[in-house]
Amino acid sequence: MTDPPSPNPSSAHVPQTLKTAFPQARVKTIMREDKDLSAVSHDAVFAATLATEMFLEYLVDKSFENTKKEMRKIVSYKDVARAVGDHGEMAFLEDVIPPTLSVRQALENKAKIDKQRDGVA
Amino acid sequence: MEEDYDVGSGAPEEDLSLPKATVTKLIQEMMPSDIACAKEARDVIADCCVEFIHLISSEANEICEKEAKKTIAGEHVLAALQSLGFEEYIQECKDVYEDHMKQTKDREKRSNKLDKAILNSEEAAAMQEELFAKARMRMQSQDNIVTGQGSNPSPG
Repeated sequence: MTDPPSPNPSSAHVPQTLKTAFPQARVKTIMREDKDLSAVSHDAVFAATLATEMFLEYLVDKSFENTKKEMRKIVSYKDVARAVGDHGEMAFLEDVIPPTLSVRQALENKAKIDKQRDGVA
Repeated sequence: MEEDYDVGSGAPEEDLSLPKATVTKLIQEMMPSDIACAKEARDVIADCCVEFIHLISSEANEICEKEAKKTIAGEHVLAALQSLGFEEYIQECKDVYEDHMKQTKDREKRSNKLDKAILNSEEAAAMQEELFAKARMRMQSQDNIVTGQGSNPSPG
């Protein structure tokens, strides 16, 4: 990553040591989409940017585990969806990336439910 | 259709996302070189990151309000990570954050010192000595010119 020539005055005096992969200005704009949010200090934007990068690594790590299990070479959408479904702290993502069910699995689930119902009756 | 807008007043908020190139780079850095990531996977990972930003912002906001503070600080964001259950990497996040904060404060201290140009007596004495030394050197070289030492004698 190259250094910017000088700190941009409009970026609220972000010191040059606070380098992140994701652009902090973009992260700040995303944060402020929430109109209920109080003012955000640049420390908070920096922390949020760091945390997001680490979250990405966490998500990719869990997704890749699924890829490896099936000995594939390409991380697929399904791998990510499964990772989200398997880890409770990622429940907030279930609207963004609904856990995918194969048709066979959906039918199996249905059969299970039907069986339970029939068993009770 | 998603586009990466630079931050500007014209950007429609619903299209706001993280730069795809950065997401791709971070993903590739984590994986062996023979593993690739499908485009759909990369895109959904980027969307998840945006959602994550909303989540921690909202949680940090609540923590901030509970403390009756008006501005969300870095510490509120870190506390939000804790309360949301992201235990696995919160320590690393804290370490990197605190390390950078410390570097920033040191840098600010140094630049403030220069900006204000308030010299303590040691620094004043050192500066004075330097000025004297320069003046001495100038005088010596002027003497040399007058007496002709170290310079070619002028013809006639």
